[in-house]
Amino acid sequence: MSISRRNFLKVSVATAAAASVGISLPKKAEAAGADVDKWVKGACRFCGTGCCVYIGVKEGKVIAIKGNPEAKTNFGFLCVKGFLAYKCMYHPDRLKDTMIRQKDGTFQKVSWDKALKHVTDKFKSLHSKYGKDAVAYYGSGQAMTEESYTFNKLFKGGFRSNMVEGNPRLCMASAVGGYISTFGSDEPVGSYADIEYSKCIFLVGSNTSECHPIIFRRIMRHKLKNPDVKIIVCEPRKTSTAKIADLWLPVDPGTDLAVFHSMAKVIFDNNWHDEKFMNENARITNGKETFDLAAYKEFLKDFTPEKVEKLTRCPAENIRKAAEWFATSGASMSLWTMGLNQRTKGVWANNLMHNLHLITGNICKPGADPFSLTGQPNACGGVRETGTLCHLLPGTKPVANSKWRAHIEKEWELASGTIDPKPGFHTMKMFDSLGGEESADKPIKGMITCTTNPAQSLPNLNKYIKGMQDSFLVVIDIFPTRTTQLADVVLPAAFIYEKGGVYGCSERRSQLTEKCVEPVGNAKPDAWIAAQIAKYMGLEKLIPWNSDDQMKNNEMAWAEYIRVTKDTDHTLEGATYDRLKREPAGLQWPCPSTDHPGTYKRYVRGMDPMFEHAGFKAKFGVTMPTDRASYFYMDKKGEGKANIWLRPYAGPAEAPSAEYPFYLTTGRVIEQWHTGTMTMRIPEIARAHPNGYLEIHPDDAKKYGIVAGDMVEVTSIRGKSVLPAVVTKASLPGILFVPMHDQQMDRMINFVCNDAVDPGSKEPEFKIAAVQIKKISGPVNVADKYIISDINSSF
Amino acid sequence: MIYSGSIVFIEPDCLEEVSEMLDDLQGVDIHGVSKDKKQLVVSIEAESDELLEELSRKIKSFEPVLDIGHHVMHFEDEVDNILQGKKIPDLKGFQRSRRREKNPLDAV
Repeated sequence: MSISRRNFLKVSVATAAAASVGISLPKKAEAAGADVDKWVKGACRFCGTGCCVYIGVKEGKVIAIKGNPEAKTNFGFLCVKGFLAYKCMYHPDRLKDTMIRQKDGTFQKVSWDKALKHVTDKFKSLHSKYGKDAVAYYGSGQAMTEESYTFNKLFKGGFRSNMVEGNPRLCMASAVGGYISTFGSDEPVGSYADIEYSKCIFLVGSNTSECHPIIFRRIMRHKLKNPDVKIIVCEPRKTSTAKIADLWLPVDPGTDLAVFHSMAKVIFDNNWHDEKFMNENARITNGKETFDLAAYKEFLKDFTPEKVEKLTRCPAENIRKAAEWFATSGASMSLWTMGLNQRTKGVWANNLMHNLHLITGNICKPGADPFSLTGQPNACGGVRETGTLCHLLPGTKPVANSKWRAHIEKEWELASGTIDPKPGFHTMKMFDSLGGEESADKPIKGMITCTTNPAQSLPNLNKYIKGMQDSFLVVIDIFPTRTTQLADVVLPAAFIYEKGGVYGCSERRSQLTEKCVEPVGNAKPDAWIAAQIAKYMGLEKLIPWNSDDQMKNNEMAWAEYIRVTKDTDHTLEGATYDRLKREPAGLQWPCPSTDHPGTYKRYVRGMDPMFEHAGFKAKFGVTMPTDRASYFYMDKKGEGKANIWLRPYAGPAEAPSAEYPFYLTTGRVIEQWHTGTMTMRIPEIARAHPNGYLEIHPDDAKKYGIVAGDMVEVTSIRGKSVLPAVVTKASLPGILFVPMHDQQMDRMINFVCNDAVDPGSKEPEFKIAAVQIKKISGPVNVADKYIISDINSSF
Repeated sequence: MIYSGSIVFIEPDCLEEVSEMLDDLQGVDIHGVSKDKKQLVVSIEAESDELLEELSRKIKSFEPVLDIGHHVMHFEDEVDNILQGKKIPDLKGFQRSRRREKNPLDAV
C-alpha cells in the first residue's frame, strides 16, 4: 500500500468523523468518501437500538461503514458489532448452496429448483396426511419486516395455519403483554429522545452497557453533562452498567416485583404520587374489578422496605432512596429488557414498572417514560407489528378478533372464513409438539426456520432436540448452526446488505436498508425463498412478489403491509418506500400520511396523530373527549385510561432448595474487545476465558473449594453444563451467572435453563433456575473459540 | 489494515495533555479540535479490528478522556484478505464472550 493512499484514507475517515460532529478540519481530504464508489443508507444488523448507517461499496464489495450523523438513534456513532458486519458477510463459512440431507446423513448440494420442489412436495404431503397445521414456521426478530410479513401471510392466508411463531416469544413477549394489558396497545409511549430530557433513569433487568452500548452511551453522556441526573440500576448482578449508577438495587432473581411494590408504598407514604394524573388517566384494577386509592394502599401495606429486604436482599434504604428519586425528580424514565421479560411473571413485572410511572405521572411528558428495550433489530417492526406470532395478525391485533380477521381476509382477497380463528401453539408448545411422522403424539411434522437457531437458543434443550431431529426441518440461515445440524434441508440466506428491507427498532422507528451488493454464492433473500415456496405450492397469487428484483419484491410486500395496517394505531401509511429512501432517520409510527413527520410520543394530544385519525376512530370505534391532554385510546373499556395493576407478589417458578442451592441466571455479555466504557478492564482474564464461563461469588467459591479457572459442573433438574469458574463479586452470594451464546455442547447453558412459561406471555423463564454445582477439575484450556464450520458436522 | 475516523471526548482544559498522550500512540493521528476544545478528531490505523480496539481502550483509559466514539471504519484490505483466503475472520465479536473489568462497585 502506498503512503499516499494511507494518508488519503486517514484524512478521509477523519474528515467524515469531523463532519459528523460539525467540526471543520484545517485540511480536508480531496474526496471525503473514504475511497468508496457509493454510500448506501441502511440500518445496523445487530441489537434493537436501530442505529442508522451508511454502507461503503467499492467494486461490488462492502469495504466501509459509517454512522449516519442525522440519525435520531445513534447520532452518527456505532458500536463495534455494527462496524464488523463485514466479518459475517465475507466469512468463508457462509452457506452458499442449497442442500438436502442424504440417507447417509451428509448434505448434498442441489439446485434451488430441486430444493424448493423437495421442500414443497414434502409440505404438501404433510398437509395432506396430517392437516393444515402439520407444518410450522419459526421466524426471528432479525428477519426483515417484508420477510416476516410474507411468511405470516403464506402460512395464515395460504396454508390457513396459525402455527407461526418467532424468537421474540423468547425475549419480548412479556413486554408486549405488559404494554397491552396496561395501555391496550403494544410498544412504548415515548422514544429514546426522552433520555436527554430525563432527570432520573431507572435501569432494570438490563445490562445496557453491554447489550445496547449506543443507548448506554446516550445515558452516560446525559449523565456527564448533567451530574444531577440520578441513575438507578436494579439488577441481581453488578454489571458494567452499574458503573454510572448513583444507586444499585441488588435483588435475588425473580423477586423484584416486591421491590417495585415497595417503591410504590414509599411513594404513597410520602405523598409523592400524582393523584390528579392517576384519577384522570388510570384505573386501579386486578383485572376483574376496579379499586380506589385506599384499597391500593391497603394492598401495598405489607411491602415495607424492611420486609422486602428480607425477601429480596435489596437494602431497605436503597428502596426508599430509589422511590424518592423516581417520584420527585420531575421526569423519570425506566428502561428494561430481558431481566424483566424472561420470567414466569414477566408480564406482571412489566405491569409493575408501568404502575410506578402511572402513579407518579411520569409518562406522556418529555423525559418520563416506561421503555422496554428490544434485544433484536426487528423484533418490534418485523414480528410484533406484522403479527408474525401464533395469536396475532398484521397490526398486532388478535387472530381471534373476528372483525380484524375479516378485514385481513378482505385485504388479502381471501374467502371469508379462510383464516383460522384459533391461535396456533406458542413457541415452547410448538417445539414440544414437533416430531416425526411415526410419533402419534406430535401433531407438527414439519417446520421451516428463518434466521434463528432454536437448537441452541431454546431453554431445557434436552426436551426439544429429538422433535427437531425427527421432523422434516428446513433451515434458512447464513451459517451452519446447531439447528442446521438437525435439518433435512438447508437454504442459504442473503445478508441484510445483500437484499435490503425494513427494520423497526425499539422506539417505533422504521428504517429502510437498500440492497448494497449481490449475495454470496447461491444465497437468496428470505422473502424470495418464501415467495418461491408459495409459487411452488400454487399460491403465487397470494404472494406475487417473486421476481428476481429483490428491492422491487420488498417494496411490493411493504406497500401491501402498510395498506393493510393503515387504520391501526401502528399505522405506517405515510412511510412509503420512496419516503423511507429519502428520510435520513427513518420514521416513527404512528405515521398516517406522507406529510406526517412521525410520532415522538403517543397518547398526547398535539403529538399523536391518532387523536385526529378518522379511519382509526371509525375502524376501532374510538371516541376521544376534547378536554383530555392525554388519552390511552386503546383502552378496552373505552375510557382512555391505563391500568394500574394490583399484581400479588410471586417469586420465580424455581427457587433454590437444599438439593439445588443456587440461583442460576443467564444473559448476554459483550464481546471482550468491544469499545465501551470500560476503563478498568483486566484483559489478561478476558483472554484466558474467551468462551463460556460461570461467574461465582468468592464466598461460594471458597465454600466449594473452587478457584478461578476450575472446571465446574452446573446441574439443574433438566440438564447440566461444564464451565470454567470466574470468581467475582459481580453477583451476590448464592447467585451464579453464565452467558448463553457458547456453541460448544458442554458449555451450552440452555440445557440447564427452565422452560416454564409466563401464563400470559408464554415467555420462558430463561433467567432463573435452581442449580447445584460441583468442581470437576482444575483449570482446563477451553479457549477454543468454538464455532460450527462444517455443515456435515453432527449435533 | 483498518482505518477508523473517531471523536475523542475530553475534560475541559485538558487538550494539551490529551494531545501529548495521543501523539505517543502509534497509528493515532489528530486531525482537528472542536472550538470548545472538548472534542478531538482522530484517525486510527491498525492491523486488525482487535488492535484497533486495544488502541481505543488505551485512549479511553486516559484520565482526562471521557469517551471515544467511532464514526467511520474503512476495512477494504481486510475484506480483500478474507476473500483471497489469506485470513479467516474471528467471529468472537458476535458470540458475546465476557469482557472482564474491575467494577468500582465491587468495593462498595
